[in-house]
Amino acid sequence: MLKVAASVGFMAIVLFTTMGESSWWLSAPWQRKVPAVLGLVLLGMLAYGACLALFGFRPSHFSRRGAA
Amino acid sequence: MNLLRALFAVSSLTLVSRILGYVRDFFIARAFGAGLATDAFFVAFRIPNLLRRLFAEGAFSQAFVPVLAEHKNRHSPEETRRLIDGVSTALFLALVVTAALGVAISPVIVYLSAPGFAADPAKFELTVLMLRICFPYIAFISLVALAAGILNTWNRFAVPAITPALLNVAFIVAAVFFAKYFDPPIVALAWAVFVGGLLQLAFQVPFLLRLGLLPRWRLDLSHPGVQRVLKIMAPATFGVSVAQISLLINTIFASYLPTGSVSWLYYADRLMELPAGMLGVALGTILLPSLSKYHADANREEYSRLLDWGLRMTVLLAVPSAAALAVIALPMVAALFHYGRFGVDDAWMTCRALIAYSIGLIGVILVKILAPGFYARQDIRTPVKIGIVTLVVTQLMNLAFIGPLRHAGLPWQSVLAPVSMRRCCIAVCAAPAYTSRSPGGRCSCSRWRRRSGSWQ
Repeated sequence: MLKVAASVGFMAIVLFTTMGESSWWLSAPWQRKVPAVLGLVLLGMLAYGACLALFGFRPSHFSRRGAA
Repeated sequence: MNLLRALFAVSSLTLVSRILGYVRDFFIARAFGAGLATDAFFVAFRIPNLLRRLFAEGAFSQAFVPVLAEHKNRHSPEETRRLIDGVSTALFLALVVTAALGVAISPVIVYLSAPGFAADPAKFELTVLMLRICFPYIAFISLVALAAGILNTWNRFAVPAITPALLNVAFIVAAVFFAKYFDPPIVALAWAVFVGGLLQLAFQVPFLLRLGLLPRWRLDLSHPGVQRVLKIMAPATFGVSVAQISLLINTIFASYLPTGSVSWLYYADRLMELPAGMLGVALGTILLPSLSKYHADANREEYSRLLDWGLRMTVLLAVPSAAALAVIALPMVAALFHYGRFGVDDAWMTCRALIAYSIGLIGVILVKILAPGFYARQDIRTPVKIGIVTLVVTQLMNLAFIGPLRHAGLPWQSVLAPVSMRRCCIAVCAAPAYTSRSPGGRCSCSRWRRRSGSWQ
């Protein structure tokens, strides 16, 4: 649980520092906002996955057999 | 048949329908923003939608599909047709009466479900007008549920999976092309509900015809199959009603909040629904058949291990989803809704509601994982009991939070109530064999489960 909490914390920091100013989000056109938000989602997934991998999680741990 | 292929096809079509749902919300937010008109529409649409979840997709489908599948396997095609005809005719008559009654007493329904609107006659009248237009939707969509039940039983999964997309298409066309012809323009959305329901029904008819299963008029309430469907429907209605009553009471509370609140909550809920639907529904659907099998085999170790796996997946996937939703709430709201008439203030208010909802996401998903634990044991009573406790807790929370937090106070009950429900679930769903360790350490709920009763 601690490893998951630490990975989530790391992901939150990465997202918070890269998302930019709220004024930009409230003024930019959709052609820039939609790719930007998709990029943030992808970045968050990568940050979380990388941190979990550093803590020793492997994809097999997500399967039932690997987790048992 | 290849179940994996069917699962992939259904999941893909459901995803297409969900994406279209977000495109629909994008156009609605751009065209109408969040204000008096959208509040009125979301309440008007919520009432037939609530009845749909309660009866059509809830109790009726739960009762009809198992009886139909049993008839298909054990009786002749003629006897199965007689069941379909009998159930369809009885359902059609009940729907005509319900829709006519709903249209006639719309003002009473609006007064009961959103009493706060009575203080603003314009908002109240607009809600009544749109509810009258929307109400026949319950009839169309219930017949769609009947047709979907038949098609699914004959392994035609793709057609029912893509059908809901037609309602979204109707919404988009109405918002983009027809709104300017209505006064007020939001009424176009109410007509989109009506047309969308009709389109969904019309879409399924050719597929039923091709199977030779298009229902015919035959009133036969004494048919044993019809009797069984009616008999199963009563407890099933009770089972699904708790969650819907909670939603209805939330609408009553929201109706007393400032104009726009119902809409802000709606838009935030739509964003929360994506991870909740993708993780919770998918995991719940996958778990139920295997849990049922392990329970039938009295294999308590595998049963516990599977439930443990579901809970661990929730922690690994739902916690980061909830955190991400809270951190990038504004970018998400701004990217999806902040266009046209959906102003800066609307974006911030929706953002506040979304942050509150995001914290409740873990509990919402956990409930969807734990509920199959009961259903697999054919225990419907325990989730209903827990649901009633949760309903009381949530309404007390509503009273406590709505004052200081206004509209952002309502999602907080969805934050804390599933946590209390989760604790009840875990306590009741206890398995003595539950001691397995995960790579991330022992699951947080193992303590709860070991402490309480037995597996059976």
